[in-house]
Amino acid sequence: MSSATVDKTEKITMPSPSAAAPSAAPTTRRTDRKVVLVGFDLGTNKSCLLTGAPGSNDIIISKIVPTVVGYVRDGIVDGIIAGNASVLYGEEALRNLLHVNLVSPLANGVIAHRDAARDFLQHVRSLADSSGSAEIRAVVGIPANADEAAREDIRVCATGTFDRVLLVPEPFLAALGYRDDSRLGQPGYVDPVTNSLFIDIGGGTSDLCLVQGYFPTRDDQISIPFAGDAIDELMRQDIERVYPNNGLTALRIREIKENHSYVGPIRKPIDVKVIMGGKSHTLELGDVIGRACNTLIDKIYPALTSLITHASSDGVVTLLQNIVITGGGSQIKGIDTVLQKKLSDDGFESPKIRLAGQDYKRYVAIGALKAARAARENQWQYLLA
Amino acid sequence: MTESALQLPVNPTEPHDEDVARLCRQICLCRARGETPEAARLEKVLRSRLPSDFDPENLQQIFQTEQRRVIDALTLVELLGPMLAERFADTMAAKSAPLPASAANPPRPATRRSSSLDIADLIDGMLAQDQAMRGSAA
Repeated sequence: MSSATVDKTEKITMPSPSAAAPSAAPTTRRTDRKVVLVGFDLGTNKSCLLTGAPGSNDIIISKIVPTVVGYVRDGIVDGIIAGNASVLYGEEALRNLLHVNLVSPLANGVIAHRDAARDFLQHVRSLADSSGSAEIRAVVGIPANADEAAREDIRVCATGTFDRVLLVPEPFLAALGYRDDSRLGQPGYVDPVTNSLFIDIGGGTSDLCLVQGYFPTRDDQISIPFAGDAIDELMRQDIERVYPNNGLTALRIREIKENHSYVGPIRKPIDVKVIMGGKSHTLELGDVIGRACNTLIDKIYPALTSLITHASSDGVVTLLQNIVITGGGSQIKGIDTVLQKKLSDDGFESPKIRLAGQDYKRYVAIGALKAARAARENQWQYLLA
Repeated sequence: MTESALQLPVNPTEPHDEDVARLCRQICLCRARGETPEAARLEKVLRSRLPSDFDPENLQQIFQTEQRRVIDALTLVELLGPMLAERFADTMAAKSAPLPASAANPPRPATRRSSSLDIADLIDGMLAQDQAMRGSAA
């Protein structure tokens, strides 16, 4: 065999039928490359990346990156884009909005543009491992109930970028991330992985998941294709109706939502300053924002009650005390109290809904990194490079 | 298993995907059985026999197809084995025992209340579900 052939074949990594052989002996590693573990929340609008080394609990890299790729337009003169790059990512792409064709690799929580997704994942890899030579093992969050086609899209796009992957539903990872490992076993501490209900409201999907001490089944998870982006779209339509030709961009509307979103009774006035046609205007958007955000409640409440009804009757009272909202939607003012009141009004026993807190953007990735650290050798899925 | 039984085409310029597929299938099967050294040996055989111009994407596709087939086959065995054993036992007991309960509503996995839930065990649960799902879809 020629040396050229050896070089070529050495790059090939055979996938392991790990799912078929959970008890099989670990596959022998053929190289001594440095291993980097990655917990990755691939979100529709924002992605969170955490990295760590095997055998350690330290987090080496923690980054939140807008999930966008900017392809620099033809004809941009030298020096406008730093380093005359042809592709920009995340914040840098957004900063150069005028000079790039902005592509969001994901829509509704799943990959919508494969090439952009591949480029984005390549960028993520460069953030995780600047040397470019490490073996990357990534646990990637996927929407609850993501179908096989959606999973395959991620695998295909991650091929050649990550060496091994595990795809795990996001709300379950959120529960793992939210779990305070230092308090496990302490009296009074309820392990969220033992009995809780997670509501993860992202950009593309709202995912609800019962977590009751076993890996959630399909029946324990509900994914609704209505979340932050759908609220933005409702707001856009409503603003367009009241203020035609306003010229507000999707990013500006999202910004307005992030600053003023609320649920419950309509709050007025909510005055928002915007620039339209180069002139400053003040728009009263209390109705617009309230209507759009309350639609989210209308969508997720039936799913919430459905999962509670489905839960084991032995632990449902404890479960009702452990409903956690995470993701960007947890920042909507009043979302916890409105849902809690609706449950109370419908006769559910002393419900308590809490917000995940300031780390809401990172819980899925934290859970993913914990899963990466805990995964056995034979549980990883190999990707063929 | 002998290497001669797994021989690839002698002429490397005329690769036969079916032969590559058979070897990939054997590798997957060995790994599934935990026969790691044998899988590694077969992998070397595969690499040594692959023509240098063999399309890596084609190899990837073949490997994934065979991996899926092995998983599906093992799932079928896992599901069918106990059913057949049960049926056989029932027959032997002069058909006097009641039929097993319907599997239409499989029981929920046992809830573990331990504070030290093992994440790897939970991942095992996830992989088993994925496997069953693929099996039922096949």
